This record gives sequence, structure tokens and C-alpha cells, in this order.
Amino acid sequence: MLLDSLVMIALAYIFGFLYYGLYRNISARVHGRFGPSLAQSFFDSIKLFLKENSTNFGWMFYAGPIIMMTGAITTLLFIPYLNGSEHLIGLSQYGNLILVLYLMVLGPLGNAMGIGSNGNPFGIMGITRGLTRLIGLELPFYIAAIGLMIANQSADIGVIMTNQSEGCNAFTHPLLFIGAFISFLGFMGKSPFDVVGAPQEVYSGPATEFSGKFFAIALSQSAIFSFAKLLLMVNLFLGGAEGLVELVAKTFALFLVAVLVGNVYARFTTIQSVEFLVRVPTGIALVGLLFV
Amino acid sequence: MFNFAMTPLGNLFFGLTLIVFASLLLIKNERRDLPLYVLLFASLGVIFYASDLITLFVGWEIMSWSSYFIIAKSARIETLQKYIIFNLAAGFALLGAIVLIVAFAGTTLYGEIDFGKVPEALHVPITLLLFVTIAIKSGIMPFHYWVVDTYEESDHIFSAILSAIISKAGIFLFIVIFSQIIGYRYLHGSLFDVLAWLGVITSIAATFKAISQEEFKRLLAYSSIAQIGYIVTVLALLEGSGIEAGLYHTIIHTLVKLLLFVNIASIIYITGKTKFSQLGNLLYDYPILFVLLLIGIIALAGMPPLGGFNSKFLIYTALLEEKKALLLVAVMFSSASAFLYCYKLIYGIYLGQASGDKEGYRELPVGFYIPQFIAAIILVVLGILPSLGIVPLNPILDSLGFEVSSYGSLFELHTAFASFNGGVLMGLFGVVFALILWLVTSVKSKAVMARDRYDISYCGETPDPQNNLHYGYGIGEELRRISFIGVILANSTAAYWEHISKLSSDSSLMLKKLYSLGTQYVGLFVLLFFTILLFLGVR
Repeated sequence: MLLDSLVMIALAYIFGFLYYGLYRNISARVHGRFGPSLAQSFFDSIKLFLKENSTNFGWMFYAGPIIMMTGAITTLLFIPYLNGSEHLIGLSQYGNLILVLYLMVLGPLGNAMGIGSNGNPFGIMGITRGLTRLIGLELPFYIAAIGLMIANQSADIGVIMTNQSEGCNAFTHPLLFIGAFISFLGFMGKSPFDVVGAPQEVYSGPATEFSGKFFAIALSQSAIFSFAKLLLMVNLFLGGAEGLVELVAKTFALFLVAVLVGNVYARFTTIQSVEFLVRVPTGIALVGLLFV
Repeated sequence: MFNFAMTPLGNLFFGLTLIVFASLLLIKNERRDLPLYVLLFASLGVIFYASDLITLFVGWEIMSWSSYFIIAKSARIETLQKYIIFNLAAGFALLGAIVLIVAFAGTTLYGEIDFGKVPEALHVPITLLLFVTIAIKSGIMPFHYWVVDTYEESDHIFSAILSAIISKAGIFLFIVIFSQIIGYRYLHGSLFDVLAWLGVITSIAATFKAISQEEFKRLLAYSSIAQIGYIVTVLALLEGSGIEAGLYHTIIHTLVKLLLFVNIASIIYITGKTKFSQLGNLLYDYPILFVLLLIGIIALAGMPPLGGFNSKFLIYTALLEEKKALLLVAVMFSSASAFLYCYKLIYGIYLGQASGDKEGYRELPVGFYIPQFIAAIILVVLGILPSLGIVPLNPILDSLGFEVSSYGSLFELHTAFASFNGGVLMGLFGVVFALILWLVTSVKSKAVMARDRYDISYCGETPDPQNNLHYGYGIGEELRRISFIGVILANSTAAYWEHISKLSSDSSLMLKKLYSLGTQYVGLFVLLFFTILLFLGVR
């Protein structure tokens, strides 16, 4: 189980950064640039990890990224990678979908605590935007999750995954899928629902003041966490995966759609995105809930 | 005359009362109103252990009155009027229901009441009267009008008791009256569906109201209303799983609110300030208080790996089992939005930038830490051993005639829908956290300590002490611009109650006119009175 978990974390780290590299490349092509090499993000994270921190704001400031990383890894280990396999399932038999939905919020809390403690007023602006947007983002996703839990009479991710042998939930519950997918775009930090952060190299985003290894941890957790979210979507709606190749294919397909959509749209303001999320995807998912 | 009985339900509620009162006793009470607290404690004992309706009612009234006198020491007259009018109404409604039940059942003893003897036409009125009592005590909309002001203006320690214990009296009454005395087969499900929706609408509205508050006691008061809304919602399912979830959440909420109210009472004691805008950056001055509040808000938000998640999990699965999808959506939405006020609470006080100077801050007596530590430790232990909270609930479910949920080990929490292992969760969390900490500390890199709080990236400028950098405390202000939240924040039930108050004052003026018509009319009234008597006698 220990080896299993370590392999899961390693895979999520590698694929998370690989996808991040691809995202930068694809975005660059859309903008008419060439973009960095695929491995650039790995190098960045390792380089940053070995660099000096610039300013120390006390222990809570440092605890923030560590809680974020803990949240990301804990979430990941409660989501099984493969359908009906004994391997790469981590600790998923000890958890369930409700637990995973709640664990997903632990990272943002850690982030918020760390940023809040440095006293930078721009940081709290980003956090407020992020948390406000979360109100809108979670609603359609939760409705879709509730629909699936009721349809399967279980909150076990493994059960929901294996019950899709006849046809995956994206086709049997299309409205729930659409609602959840729009939220998922936001969870992945893609336009039009994204909130500006330091990785986008904006000077005063939520990650303001993190530097050196703590910035590296913030970047790595975001890569791992993105992969966990892709995995959750694949398990819930695309029938999970029998083998690693299928898993990569499915997660990549989802990721590609998210990236392309993200490149086409401009960013909503926080207010606009909450207004949109509580109307359109929530409405779609609620109609979908009626058909469960 | 008065009858008492030890029941598992009474034991649970009295146990919680004991924890709250015993731990708060260690805080030095500046005012000498200890006798009132003792009276309140005794009245709660009477309510929880009563075995006939009259004893219950007497306890109920003593509770309301002793609270009144404690609140009266610090509250404004308007607040007191609100408190007493609503709580009198609750008392009258309860008395009305009791009279109706006893008149037909012929006994006041819980065990001997046969609700079948009460005519069917009275079932709905009795249920509604009890709803009013429960809604007033638990602060369900639209009867929450008295709650927030009372919490805000009460003594800081008494707010903890109000939120942790007294608000639960309504929950206790719900279970005793509807499950034990009346029995579910006589109840109209549709009425309880309405109550379930009232509960969840209350929690959504109160959550957004909480986010927009500027004073931390008001924020916590709205948060209490929201949390008790969840409990009422699951109890109104009228199922064993609902009672289990509701009681588990009662335990968690009692502990969380004890912790949070004592925490902010400590801050108020130290600083003498009550608004977010006046504080900030107390983290490094009071790190223990900060960590305790962090534990409190994690449990309040229902996040794993603390005990708060267990009750949320039970609430969700209880709603799932009953296929109440829309109710569940509403509960989860409210619960997700609660993160914002949880964060506002900790940010406004402990994080961000300091507002004003720290002169005149007092030393905090050790007594303030004890209730917080007790609550925090229980919350952590419940996180590791989720089924430990089920242990006192099973005898209650058994005594009420529901199926008892089984648990393999204390580490696991089982429901029909799913299960999780709290031990594994907490263990994983601890191990991962420790590993990352080790990884971080193993790579040596020296960071320059920030010179002062103003050593931050600030658009290329250097802020000075004159800049207000703590404007983050206003989280929630901008939510007004989101239309559906704006509607909630712009409206309150105040206008409605003021209308009622005007109506009643107008009608009493009319009555008063009858009395002040002049002496010549008195003879007329007497004549009229005797004519009516004569008429009735002839018939």
C-alpha cells in the first residue's frame, strides 16, 4: 500500500507537470508563439526548490503551502486510479466521494491561511476572489455528485466507477456531466472562471510573497491537485480506466478540452463568474438531477 | 408532583450541558450573577430529565427567565423586549400544545400519553404550536429576529452558553415531543417537509448574513442560526438516520461554539474590541488562541480530518438515503458558502495587518484556555474515532424505537451510503504533513526575516503606518453585487415584525378606547354583560 501510494504521488507529479508544460505549449501556439520546452516546468520546480527564500513572515506563512500540499496529496490518495484493479487505488477503500469533495477544500484553506498571514492586502484580495468563486464553482459540481450518488445508491467512488460498464455517466447523465464540466473548468483554473495567481506572473496575485522552496511547493501541489481533479472527473463521468494508457488518454482528452476552452474565453470577473455559475451550469445540473 | 426519569437522550444533553458549564465555571466571572447561572443550569437539568409535560414546561420557563435576568445585565432595552416577547410566545405556544394534549390524553406523563386519543382535527394545530416553540428557541426563520441582538449584547461568556446549550433546547424538545410522546405515525409528513425547507433556507440566508457582519459576535450568532438550521432539517426527515445525524451535529456544534465563543471572548477580554476593523495580526502575539480558533473553524466548516466532518457526512448521507436531493443541494451549498465566514473570522482577528496600536491589552487568565482546550481535544479525538460520537447516540435511537447503526471499529463511520476511516484519514494527514515538513526543512536556505509588517510587495511602493492595509477584514462586502446574495443581504425580517408590532399596538389602542369612553358607558357595558349571561342561561 505504501509503494502503491508513492507510485500514485509520483505519477500525479509527473503527469501534472507534463500537462502543465503542454498547457503552456498549446497556449503559446494559440498565441502564435513557440512556448517553453515540455520539461521546463519540472526544471522550474526543482530550481525553485533549491533557491533561497526572499522574505520570512513567520511560521504560519510557511505552514500555508505545506497544508496545501498535504491537502492535494491526501485528496489524490483517496481517488482510485484504476477501475477494478488491486493496484494504484491508494487508500480509496477508506474514503468516499463526500470525503474527497471536502478534502478538495483543504488546499484552498491552507493557501488562504498562508497568504493571509503575510499581511499583504493584495493577497487577501486574491483569496477573497478565490473563495467567493468557490461558492459558485462548488454548486453545480455538488449537484452532479449528488445525482451520481443517488443514481448509484452509493457514495463510494469505486462503486460509481464500476457501475459504468454499460455506458459511462457522461452519456447516461449528460446534463449532470455538462454542469460538472463547467465547474471543472473553474476548478482547473481555466478561463473564463480563473482567478489571477502568481504562476501567471502577475505581480500581486494570491501567491504574492511566496518564494524559493515554498513557491516550488505551491507549484508542485497545483500540478498534483490538477491531476487529482482530472482523475476524479474521469472516474465519475468517463467510466474510469482499466489500464494506465487508457487513464492517460482519458485525462489528457479532458485536459485538452479544458485548455482549449480556456484559451478561447476571456476571464470573467469574480462576480460575473459566480452569477454565471449559479445560473447556467447549476440550472443544467438541476434539470439533470430531475432525470436521476 | 414533578416527575423525572433518566433517559439516554436526557443524559446526552445534560452531559453536554455539564461540559459547557463546568468548563466555563473556571473563567472568573466579573459580575456576581453566579446564582442565576446555577438556576439556569438547574432548569436545563429539569428540562432534560423531566418525564411529564408540566415539569418540562416549568423547566422551560425557568430557563427562559433566568436567561432573561443574565442578559438584562448587559443588553439594551430593545433587545430585552425582543428576547422576552419571542420567548414568552414560545412558552405560550408550548403551554397551548401541552394543554391540548393533556386535555384529551388525560395524563401528563410521557410514557402514558396516547396521542391517538387527541381528535385528528387538533393534530395539525398542536404540531404548528410546537413548531413555533422550536423555531423560536432554535432561531429558525422567520422567528430568529431576537437571536442575533441577544447573542451580541449578552455577556461574552453567556453568549457561549446561549449558542452551545440553550439553542439546543429546541432540538431536545423536537425529539422528545415528536419522537417520544406523539409518535411519528400521527404526524403529517408534509408539515415536516415545510419545516425541513425552512431549516435549510434559514441556513442559507444566515450564512450569507454571517459573511457580511462586521462584529465577530454577530457573525457567530448568524453562524449558530445556520448550523441549527441543518439540525432541524435532518430531524424533520422523521427518520432514525436523521435523528442520528442531527444529534451528532448537536454534539459537534456545542463543542465548536463553546470553543469559538470563548475564543472571541478571550480576544474581547484582551483587547476590549469587538469589530474586525479594529483588530488584525494577533497571530504571533497569541499563537495558542490562533491554533484553537483554527481548529474551531475547521470543525465548523466540516472539513476533514476533524470531528466536524463526521456530522456533515451523516447529514448528507441521511438526506441521500431519503432521496431528498434538492434539500441536500441546498444544505451543501450553504455549507460550502460557510467557508467564507469561517475564513473571515480568523483573518479579521489573527491575520492581515494590525489596525491601531496594542496599548492597554490585558493579560488573559488561564481559565479562558480550559474550555477551548477541552473542546479542541474532543474535536480532534472525534476526528480520529468518528464512531465514538455514535456510542451515546445508539441507546437514544434504541429507546426511540429506531434501528441502531452498527460500527465495526471506532475508527470507522458507517452509513448505508458509504463509510470512511477517521484513523486512516488523520494518520495520512499527519504523515504527509510531517514528510513535507521534513522535506522543506532538510533543504537549508536562509530567508531574511521581514523587517516589519510593512515589508511587503506593494505595487513597487513602500507602505507606511498611515496606510490602512487591513481592508481585507471587509470580506463579504462585495458579495452584495452578486444578485441573489444581494437580495438576501438587502432584506431582513425586521420590516415584517415591525408591521406585526404596529398592528398589535393599533389593535390594543382600539381596546384601550373601549375602556376610556367615560363613566356613562360603564353602566351600559354592565347591562350588556348581564344580557349576554341571561341569554346564555336561557339557552
